[in-house]
Amino acid sequence: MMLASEFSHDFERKSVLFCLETLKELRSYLIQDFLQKSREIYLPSFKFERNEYLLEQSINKYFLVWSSRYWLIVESAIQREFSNLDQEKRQVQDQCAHIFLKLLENMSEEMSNRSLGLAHEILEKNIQFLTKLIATGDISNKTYDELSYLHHRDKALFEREFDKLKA
Amino acid sequence: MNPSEELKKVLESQLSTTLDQLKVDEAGKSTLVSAIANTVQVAISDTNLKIQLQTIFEYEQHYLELIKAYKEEIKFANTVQEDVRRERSQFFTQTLKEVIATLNSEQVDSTTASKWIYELVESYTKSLDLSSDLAKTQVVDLLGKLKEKSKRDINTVQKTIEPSEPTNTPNDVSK
Repeated sequence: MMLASEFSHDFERKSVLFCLETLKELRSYLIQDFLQKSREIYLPSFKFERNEYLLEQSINKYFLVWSSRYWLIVESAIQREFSNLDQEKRQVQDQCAHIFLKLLENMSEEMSNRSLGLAHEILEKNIQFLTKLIATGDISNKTYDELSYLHHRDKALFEREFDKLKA
Repeated sequence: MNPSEELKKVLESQLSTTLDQLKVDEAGKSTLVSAIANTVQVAISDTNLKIQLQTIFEYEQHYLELIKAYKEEIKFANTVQEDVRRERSQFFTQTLKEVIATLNSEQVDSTTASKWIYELVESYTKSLDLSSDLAKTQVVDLLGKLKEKSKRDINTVQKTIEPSEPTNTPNDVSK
């Protein structure tokens, strides 16, 4: 029979490993996009070669959308590995939400040094949103969907900003 | 003066008095006193040494059991830290070069490429730092558990050893 402490050690290890794997997967997308010549990177590199502002906005957009991809990775990995384990699922989601928050805060810190309008504004909104979710102490399935939705919303907000600037 | 030497002195003085009463000659008395006192002192020292060795043995045994109990966690903490270190080193020695080569081969303007590279390094290393912090937390937690457990084990060993220590000190003997 497995002791309670052994069970919790096992879960602790599983949970840390899960978070490390999701972060690693997120990093691997970054490298893949550069090596496999993603249009999100290479197209604006040529298109805005002579427009520094739009080029920088494109770079910000790429990295912001890349970071919000984290929650999509977490979502599908949790479904795969913890689908029938509600309590474990909630604990892992909570741990990942803290990591996601830290990821966004790191980006925001970097961007605030360069005062980058829209990207920084979106990041700040996402951070506030996530902090509120964590404070409730329960990342339920509903709020969980809302986090995944950030990824799509951020992309759209940037597109809108680009259209405005180009016009 | 350590306890066994103190006991030797007391013994020598008592033996000397007794042998004087038995009118043993000085040369014989000195040989007898010295032989008996030395034999007793060696026996006492052996007992102390045995107690000390027993304490060390018990502690080592507990410590080995502790390491055995946490074997999987120690292995895990080490592996996760090693993985992050390896990935960081691979990024700077290999991956980054490949990315730069790809940007060059696509003829991306060098200023534009530097901007992308700067952001890539920033984001990648910050994400690696997050992973490293997670791995470190795991090690710190583990060290805390081991420290706490070994502290408890030392107390247990001390309690086990204390009753077997001699209760009569040399001073008691002299009384």
